Amino acid sequence: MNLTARQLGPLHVVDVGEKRIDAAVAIAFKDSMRDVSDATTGDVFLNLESVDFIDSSGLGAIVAAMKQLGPDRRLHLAALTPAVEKVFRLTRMDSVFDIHPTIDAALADHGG
Amino acid sequence: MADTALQPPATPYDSGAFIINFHATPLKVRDALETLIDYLGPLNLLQEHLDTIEIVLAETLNNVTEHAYDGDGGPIYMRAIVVDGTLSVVIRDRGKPLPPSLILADDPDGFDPESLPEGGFGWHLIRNLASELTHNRLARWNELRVVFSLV
Repeated sequence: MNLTARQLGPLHVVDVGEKRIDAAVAIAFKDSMRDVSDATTGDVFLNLESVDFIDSSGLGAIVAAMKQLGPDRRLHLAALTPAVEKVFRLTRMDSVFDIHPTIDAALADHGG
Repeated sequence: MADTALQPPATPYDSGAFIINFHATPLKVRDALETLIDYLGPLNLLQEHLDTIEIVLAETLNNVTEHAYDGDGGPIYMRAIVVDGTLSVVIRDRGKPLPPSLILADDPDGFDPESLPEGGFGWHLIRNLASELTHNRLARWNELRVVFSLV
């Protein structure tokens, strides 16, 4: 699972370097996100610009990653491609995440 | 490309039916989907249609892998053909019978986003995105037929 954690100003950003978050990588994704949660404090911003496909297993893994952060931290999503946006919208899970058009937009909103 | 994409595909698709047999694992499902999307390439379908097809078939094939076969693997047969602007896909497996309630469910909101579910999305996506969905139990096989309108 190719995830890269970096600091962008005050934001903890995780760039997903995979084209797919699907059943084949859902568990690895969740495990890697747990490592990120454990190594940081505060909100995490997941950059999905490289991800062109997600299935229900991948969606479940992103929800699990948010829960791993605990009640006081949020998982933000940025740069959803059309197929990814469609899955979030049809399952109405877009209503439970803060979704930003791009990571730069997230920085503008939360950069302080 | 953009203007031809709005035309319905020629009928029937010159290359004939797409048929693939593979073992039910997440990586083989991924490969099978990629091969099918390649097969559809010459039709110049709208990306929106390709996304819908891939989402529905991914959910269907994952369901076979995870539930019909309980993750233990088994054969999957998939056949796809485009006729008159319609893609018909037949998927067969030798796993456990599919509960008819999953096809017929009239409760499309079987989960509550606010409760942060980590599953249960698959059939919701299939029922929302497929144009038609039918299931038959044939001897020891499940047969699911999924139809997509491409126009």
